[in-house]
Amino acid sequence: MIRKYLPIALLTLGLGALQAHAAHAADTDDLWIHIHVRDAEEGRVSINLPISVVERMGNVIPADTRGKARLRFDDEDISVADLRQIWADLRKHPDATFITVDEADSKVRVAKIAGNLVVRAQDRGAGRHEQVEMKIPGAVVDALLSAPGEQLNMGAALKALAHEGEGEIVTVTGDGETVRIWIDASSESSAR
Amino acid sequence: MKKATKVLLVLAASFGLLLLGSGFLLAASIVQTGLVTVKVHESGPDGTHLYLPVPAILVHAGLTVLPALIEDDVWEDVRCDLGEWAPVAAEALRSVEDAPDAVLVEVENERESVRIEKVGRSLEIRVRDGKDSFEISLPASLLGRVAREIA
Repeated sequence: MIRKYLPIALLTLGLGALQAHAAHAADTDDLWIHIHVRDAEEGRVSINLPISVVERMGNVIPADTRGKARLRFDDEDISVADLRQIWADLRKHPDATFITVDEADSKVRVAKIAGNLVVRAQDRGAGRHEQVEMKIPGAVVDALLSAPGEQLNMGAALKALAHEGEGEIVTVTGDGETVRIWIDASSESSAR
Repeated sequence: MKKATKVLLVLAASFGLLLLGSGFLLAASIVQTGLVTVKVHESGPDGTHLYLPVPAILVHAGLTVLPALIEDDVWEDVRCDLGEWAPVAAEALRSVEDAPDAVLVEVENERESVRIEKVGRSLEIRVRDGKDSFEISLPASLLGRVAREIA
């Protein structure tokens, strides 16, 4: 009995998996990445690209030009190796706020929420107000830090981003300027 | 009918067929490969006003014979300038060729605007600077052709 129906069950499962894969591919093929910059003085820049374009470009970014990267935090350089170690540690822990900086004119929160790295920062200086919100999917951070040594793997990160589906990625609002990067199914950036 | 008249008639018919055939070939090439159009409008009494439609097949042919006409390998220079990013630029051009209709890039300020839009099988680039404007429409297949050269 089992021998009789096992091949049919395996075939059905295989076809189901193929269908699911095709549906996912179709879903991501329909998505667009939007970059929108609005500045009260400089004007407006809007870039709308099919996510497949980003994915295809991610495939050909040369390995040895992925570039050395360095982050500065409170005037201290954080190497990519350190970042990789920090992210590996964060990965193991449940969702939580890991970094909180509360100063008179600035606030920073770095948290892991639903597998995403979420960064929220506010800067309120004399006559200025800037707010940054970033939600980077964990898979994208994994891909970004997958290059060896001090390199960031931009190609892999773009490919991972292409597979993440709809959502807000970066929002920066400041005095008279806004920057938004998001993914959705519309080809027009004014849709959201 | 005199022999000279017959010869003239045959010549006229041949010429007519040649014209008709060329017309059909041109129309077929335009249908197949599209049209590159350039529109320039400059304000002022001495401003340039230009509308230039060119069958894209001529541009394709130009790209083919360009290396033979110019001693320097233009594409090699472009590849050298782009360095390791040449494949990325080529892939971007190929991707735009395959992209669905949309406004891909739009830059606007009080005085100037740039708009790059994919419309059907064409890529349209519009630049406006005050009262002046420059518009070019080219078949997206040309981008694939350039991509092949620089990859």
